Amino acid sequence: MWKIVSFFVSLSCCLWSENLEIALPTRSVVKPLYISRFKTDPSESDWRFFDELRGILEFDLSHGGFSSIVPIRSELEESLQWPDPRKEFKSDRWLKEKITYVLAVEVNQKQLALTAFDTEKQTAKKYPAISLSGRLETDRRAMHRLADAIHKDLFDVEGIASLRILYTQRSKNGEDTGLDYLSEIFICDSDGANARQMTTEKGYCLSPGFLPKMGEDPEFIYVFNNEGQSKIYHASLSKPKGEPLVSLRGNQALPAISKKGNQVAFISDVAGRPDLFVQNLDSKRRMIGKARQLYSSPRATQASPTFSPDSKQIAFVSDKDGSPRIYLIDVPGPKDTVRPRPTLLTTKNRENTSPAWSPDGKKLAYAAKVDGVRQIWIYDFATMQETQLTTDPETKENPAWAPDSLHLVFNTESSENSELYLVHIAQGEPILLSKGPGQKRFPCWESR
Amino acid sequence: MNRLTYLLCPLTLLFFTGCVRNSSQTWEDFKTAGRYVHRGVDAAFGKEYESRLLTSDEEFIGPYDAEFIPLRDSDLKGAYAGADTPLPQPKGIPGQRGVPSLSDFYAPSDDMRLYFQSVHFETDEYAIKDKHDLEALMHMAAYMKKNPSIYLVIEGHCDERASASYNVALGMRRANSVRSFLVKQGVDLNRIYTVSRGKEQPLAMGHAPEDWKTNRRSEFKIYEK
Repeated sequence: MWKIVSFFVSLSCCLWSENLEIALPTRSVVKPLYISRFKTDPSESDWRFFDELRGILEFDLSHGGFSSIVPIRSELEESLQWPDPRKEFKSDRWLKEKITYVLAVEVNQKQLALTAFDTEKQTAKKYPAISLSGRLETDRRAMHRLADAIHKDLFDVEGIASLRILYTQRSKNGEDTGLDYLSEIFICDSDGANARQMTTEKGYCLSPGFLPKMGEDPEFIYVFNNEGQSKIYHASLSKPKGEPLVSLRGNQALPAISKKGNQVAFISDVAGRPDLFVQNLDSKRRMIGKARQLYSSPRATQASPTFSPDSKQIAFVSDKDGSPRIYLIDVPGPKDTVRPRPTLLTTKNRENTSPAWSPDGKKLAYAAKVDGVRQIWIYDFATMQETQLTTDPETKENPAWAPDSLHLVFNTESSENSELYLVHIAQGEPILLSKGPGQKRFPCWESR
Repeated sequence: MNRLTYLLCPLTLLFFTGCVRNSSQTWEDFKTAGRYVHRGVDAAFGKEYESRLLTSDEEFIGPYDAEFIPLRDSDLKGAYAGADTPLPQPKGIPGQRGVPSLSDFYAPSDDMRLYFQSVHFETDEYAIKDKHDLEALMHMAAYMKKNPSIYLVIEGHCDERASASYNVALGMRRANSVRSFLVKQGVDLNRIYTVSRGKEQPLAMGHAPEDWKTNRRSEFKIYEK
């Protein structure tokens, strides 16, 4: 008898302790990295500009998740020999200081030259010189690309620094006519800098999303309504005035594009309820056939679809069984004749919204209410565990994955202030990205 | 003794799980689990709500003249007699073939506002339940039936508490629910359009229950041909 009692007691303890345990889904090894002062010739006097460039490298490499930046020290600076730091470089000297990576940077005649050392492997690589224009908005893109190249070489993982973030910016309409609030699409670098407005619709834009990269001019979709119904539009960075993507009556909103760009899932009330639809697209982003009504429920509201990377499943929000939770549904192939049935995915919290499937297919980020505050959570498909990622008291939503499946960008949400934050899923602490006026929301990463 | 053991074990289990959730959370989970299991049991006995085997490609593809491939959910109607009837969007596309563009619609003038009063919703609800709001909608339906040249846009709005994306869908739901009500009262469905504003265009900027109630609304815009 006592065996049975002890079994139930220990089972209860296991269930109880499971709720308190926070298992981080991905761990990475963080190693110290030293970035030298930019060595310049005496004619160069623009120290502030070089400090900005160094700051970009520092931000990109420290937030990649694999290195922590060591502060500048004069004795370490003196140990670097110029003009070619490779000649007298002594790995032992740096290893004694427990510094694994060293970046020696020189600017001469507007040419930036960088040499990267791995003191453990005792290797060095000199990167092709970068021509600096002197204009920060141009040169910072070059620095982001350089950071990604270094990231790949030192850590063997593609960096995300050169990829940009689309988002919406909401502000009060200054004119007497039209909507009280307007929202336009903006774009910024991965560190939040270089923000600029893309659309000039003077209406309400929501839910931007990059399409898979096909050429030099990245394409994106967004939802726009002025005083009419919401429709999905397709645009590119060079031609941000959108063209309609889906032709259906009623409202279409909350679009999600498949990894190959050949399907778009969205919510539409064309049939009289907010239902889940899927539309096939060709390579020129034109509709193939008719949109397919994938899920409808008489008493439920469906929202926020997101494709699995193989496009075989969609995760979406529905309140069909009570409060909004996340469900999975199969996307039927052209010859499937059985309508798919959704299965409940998230069970730990109520009010689960804005799911985003990671590009590697292993995780789902979403927002869920904990003690009255919406926090970012991650569902791990391998362990079927739901883990809370953020804890501070601001409401958060709309998590969007970076292509490395290690970083998320999300927005805080309040009626006065909404900002973008970057977070590494194994390292926790979110970093404020956005600056300036307006509410920044619905972020999404550029695809690689 | 054995019976006592079997009684004690589940009680112990219940006691420990009670440590981590409060009663309303447990009730929410219980409701979700109940509905989920209910559907599963129904499905096991052949009563499918959400999927069924279709007999031919034609049945799956749907009528070729339809704008989209619909779910065949006519079997849902019996199971949810109280649910609102889904009504397709108007045939006419705004701004085309004599149908007014939605940007031409305007807020009712002072003398018309009597017939087109805003109506309000309960938290996370889409059906109008307040007696005065229902009367206002019936009044509006009667006016529209008498004046067939009037077109209507119903805006669905939400309060600030749910997420922005979920509220976009909920606003759609609310606007369509009001539209269904008006059509059931005899108004021509081809004269009523729906728009969702989510929580993006609030009226009250406070964070109190009264502000939330003010913002959970449907507003109306009209166009007289």
